[in-house]
Amino acid sequence: MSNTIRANLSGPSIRWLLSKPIASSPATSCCSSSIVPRIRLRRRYHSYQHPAPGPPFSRPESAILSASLLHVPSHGFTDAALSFGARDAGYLDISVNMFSRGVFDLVRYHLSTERLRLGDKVDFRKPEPELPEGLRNLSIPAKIRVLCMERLRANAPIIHRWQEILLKLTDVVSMDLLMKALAVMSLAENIPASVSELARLSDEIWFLAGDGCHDTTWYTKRATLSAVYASTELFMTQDNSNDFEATWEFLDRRLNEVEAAGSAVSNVSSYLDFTVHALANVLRSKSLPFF
Amino acid sequence: MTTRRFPPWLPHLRYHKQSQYPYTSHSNLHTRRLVSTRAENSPETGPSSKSRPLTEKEREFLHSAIRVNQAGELGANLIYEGQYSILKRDPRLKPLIRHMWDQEVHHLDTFNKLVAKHRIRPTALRPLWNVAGYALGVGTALLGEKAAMACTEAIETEIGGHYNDQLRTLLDMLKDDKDLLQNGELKQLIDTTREFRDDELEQCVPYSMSKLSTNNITDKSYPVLTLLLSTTQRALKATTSFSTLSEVDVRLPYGSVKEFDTQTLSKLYFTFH
Repeated sequence: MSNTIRANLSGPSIRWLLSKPIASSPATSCCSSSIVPRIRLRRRYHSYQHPAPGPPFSRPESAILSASLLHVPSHGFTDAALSFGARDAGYLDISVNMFSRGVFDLVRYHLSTERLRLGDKVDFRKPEPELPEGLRNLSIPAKIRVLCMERLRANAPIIHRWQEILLKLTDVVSMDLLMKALAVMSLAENIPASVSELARLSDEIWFLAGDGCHDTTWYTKRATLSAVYASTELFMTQDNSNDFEATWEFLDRRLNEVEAAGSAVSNVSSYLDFTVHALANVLRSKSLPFF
Repeated sequence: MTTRRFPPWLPHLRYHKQSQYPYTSHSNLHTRRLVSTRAENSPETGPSSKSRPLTEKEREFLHSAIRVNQAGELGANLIYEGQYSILKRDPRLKPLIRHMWDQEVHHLDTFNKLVAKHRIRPTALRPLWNVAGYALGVGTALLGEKAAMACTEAIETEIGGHYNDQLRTLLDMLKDDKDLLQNGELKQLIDTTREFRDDELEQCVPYSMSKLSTNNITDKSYPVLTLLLSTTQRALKATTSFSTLSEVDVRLPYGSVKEFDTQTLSKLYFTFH
């Protein structure tokens, strides 16, 4: 007991606070570790028998945020949408203050609920007869394509507002210096959450596709799918075609590229494998002591 | 008659001819396994009302435990593969190593399935293990039978002890839920771990029964090798479980470093040359 008290009062936290510079220039602070939070990508044991831990948002939070999402098509991802949502859910305008990150919490709510909803729409782990008519006997890449399309369709109602969010995250050219610093800082705050949400989504898609990889491909598969999904989402914000046909073509091209790259890697490795074995056999035929 | 054909320090090989199974072991472990290891085949049960949600710490423990087990079994497989590529020319040792390797293949398959099923991130050090594990197997086999067995024994003891630690934590985790101890996926995990631990420790038995008993090999003849093996295993354990790093016991199982004095090193030198 006394140990814990001492640990709490002494040293690290106080020393850490004192060692921090009181004022630092925005240009350096955006890169320092005190501003940029760590990307939390800790994965946890997925249980089938035990209920999952509670959702990341509490009940009033999700009530306000889900009501706010209905206002996004008309008001965008703004504080106005949040206030309207709070009113619709029967809360005071001031209750919006419980979202520490403001609008970004709304974005995060959209991302995580759509990710969790994906499994209810399409789940390729089910036995074949339970799947809908057009989704039976698909190959793994085809399953990935279906899941990506399903997830991107969920962005359709808000896609014209989604662009604003992406711009807010990426484009700071037009602002003056102070605004730029603020934007960069908000960017630095939000990027880890966005990246880990993207990583969780690609993990979810591979899981729902029923892919059971357990080696290094686990990493490459998730990395490539994240890249493909992010670029397709960016393309979709600019897409004016009927029912996003251009987006699906774009997605197909990206997936084909990834597949081609993957088969090139496996071709090279099988070539090397063959060469090494052939060399070993040549040595054996010369009765050299080769294992 | 069979005793004459096989050296006396491999008594279990006497049963080789009598066994109707491809395995050389006389134990019934592999038959029991067919009944009990169903962790990967069990149907997915939905959340039942009786199961409590696992805490964050428990999920983290299960996550890293399964990942470490998979990495450990992968390393053991690669070491046996390396040893087999050298020792397969020896008619005495070939079936023995083949038998132990087969067991490890089964263990690795089981954990591969568990990793995929429970959405566990596999170890990122796999390319490293692919090279290091195989090299360790080939290297120890080239040093000779004794070194190969010292390696095997060190690995099996380490993995078996690791399983034992996990079993203790798992049982401690479920000590308040009598229901979960009777059925459920954690019960299956406990059964699997227990069975694999028995397998691993069984593989040490031939050596400790023989003249080449544990202490003779590991402490005196091959101190450097022993140190290398135990550090490899520790490194494997530590690097694959970042989150449980603080819980890793840093005690060396085969004696302490002070035993590696010049005398034993010179003895080692003469053993090799």
